[in-house]
Amino acid sequence: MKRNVTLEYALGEGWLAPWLDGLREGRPVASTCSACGDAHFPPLRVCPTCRSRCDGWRNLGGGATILCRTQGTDGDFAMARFDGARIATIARADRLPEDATRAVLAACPDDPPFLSLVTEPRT
Amino acid sequence: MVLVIGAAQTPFNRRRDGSGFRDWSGDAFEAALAMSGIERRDIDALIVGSESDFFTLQLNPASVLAQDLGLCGAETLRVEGGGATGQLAVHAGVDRILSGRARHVAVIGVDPSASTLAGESIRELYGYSFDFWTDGLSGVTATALYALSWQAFATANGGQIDDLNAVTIKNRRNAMSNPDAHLPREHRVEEFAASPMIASPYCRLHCSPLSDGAAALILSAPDAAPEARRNRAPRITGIGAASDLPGLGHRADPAVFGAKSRAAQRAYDMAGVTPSDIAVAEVYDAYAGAELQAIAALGLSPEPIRSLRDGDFDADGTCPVNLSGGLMGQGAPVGATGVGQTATCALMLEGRYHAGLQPDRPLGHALADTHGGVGTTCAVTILSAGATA
Repeated sequence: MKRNVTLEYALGEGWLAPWLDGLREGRPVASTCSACGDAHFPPLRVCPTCRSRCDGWRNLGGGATILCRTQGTDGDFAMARFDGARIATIARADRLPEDATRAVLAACPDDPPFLSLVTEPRT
Repeated sequence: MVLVIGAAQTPFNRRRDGSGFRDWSGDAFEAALAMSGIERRDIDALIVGSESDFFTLQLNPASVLAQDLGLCGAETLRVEGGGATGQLAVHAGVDRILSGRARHVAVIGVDPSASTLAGESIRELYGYSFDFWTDGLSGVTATALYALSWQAFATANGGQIDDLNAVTIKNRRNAMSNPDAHLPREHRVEEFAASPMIASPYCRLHCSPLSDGAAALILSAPDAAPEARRNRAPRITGIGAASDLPGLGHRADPAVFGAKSRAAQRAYDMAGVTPSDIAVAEVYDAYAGAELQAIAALGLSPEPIRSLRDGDFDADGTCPVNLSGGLMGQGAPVGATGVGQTATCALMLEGRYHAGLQPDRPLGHALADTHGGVGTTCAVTILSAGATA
């Protein structure tokens, strides 16, 4: 028996909207905890350090350090920590050279946006 | 304590016979019920572990299974916790009995993870079992996340590709004596180099398969168990569950399954045992390296890689791990996995497991371990032998 179901979701972005807007524009926007000063990217609603509600947003601005990376038929992904963030993130890395150790956030105008890393521009 | 008076499972494999999850649930339940010595009218509650309505195309599966199994009138509950679904369903059943709300509980774990959807669709759905908004939208797969976690563990503990191969060979070799296993294989080392790389360092052979199947338990309060089962039946003596941050990068150490350690400690404390008391363990080996990470978190060895190389987890080792073949060899129909692990432990403790896999020494305590996400939603169950096993 065959059954085909097509589902189109309309997902509310809610408290994550500032972060998602940042992804669209290539800006790493972190949630911040005024109690302990930590910045979290990807954002957390409650700070894991002090368990206070994160109550602000900050554009981290800078690049990220590649911590580790995996490649194969499932794609190319990296764990990276953005400068100024307390935690690391998982991101697509298929636009990065294999030996890259640094990267920046790519602008992602797609809907929905996602985290993708590109080569850090030379300064 | 709670008695396991009935335990059974169907084969875990990819069904090509036109059967569905309602058939498998019925088969596993009837076998467990026959072993239990009670009647279906004695069952006060039905707990169903099923990970996703996307697989079954059936919301509220417990309602239709209660109807199929002749349990209408009993309390019904569906439990979901990613890969930990089955084990959490067992815990929900144990809680019903310990709280006095039920004297007999049927627990069924079931999922058609292999045959109802294309592999590409299943892979996408599993990507959503991590944080959809951060990880899921990037298209990252379970294999890629596990690979990143293993890399961190291997760096800290000296793990090599050979160790991933050794876990794979061990579990699939065990599966060769398990007639219910999905991937019974005698792998040769050279096969690994030829296996497609899915997410480095994991090649296809290092991954557990998607499977169809069901498993069932009949749990009983000690004073409600039939006389014939009261002394012999194994006991669930400890349960523990805990959670971690879903994002690997959010954790202090992406190599460590910290929630699993917390879940295990809760289960050990409840059972009044320590890791050194565990005689056999069914451990969540969704990927080869995850078995070693789990063993470390469960405290079954302070140096799991050295213990693996020494043969401690082999069928004739000091603490055999995944005698069933585990997820890698026996298979992984998600909701059925944890229930099947518990059934395996119960049957081993009672001396009723498959010939060729049943340890030939008396077993005191066994451990069943699952998690959802990459060690995110963790559930551990300790079982102990009955008085006259």
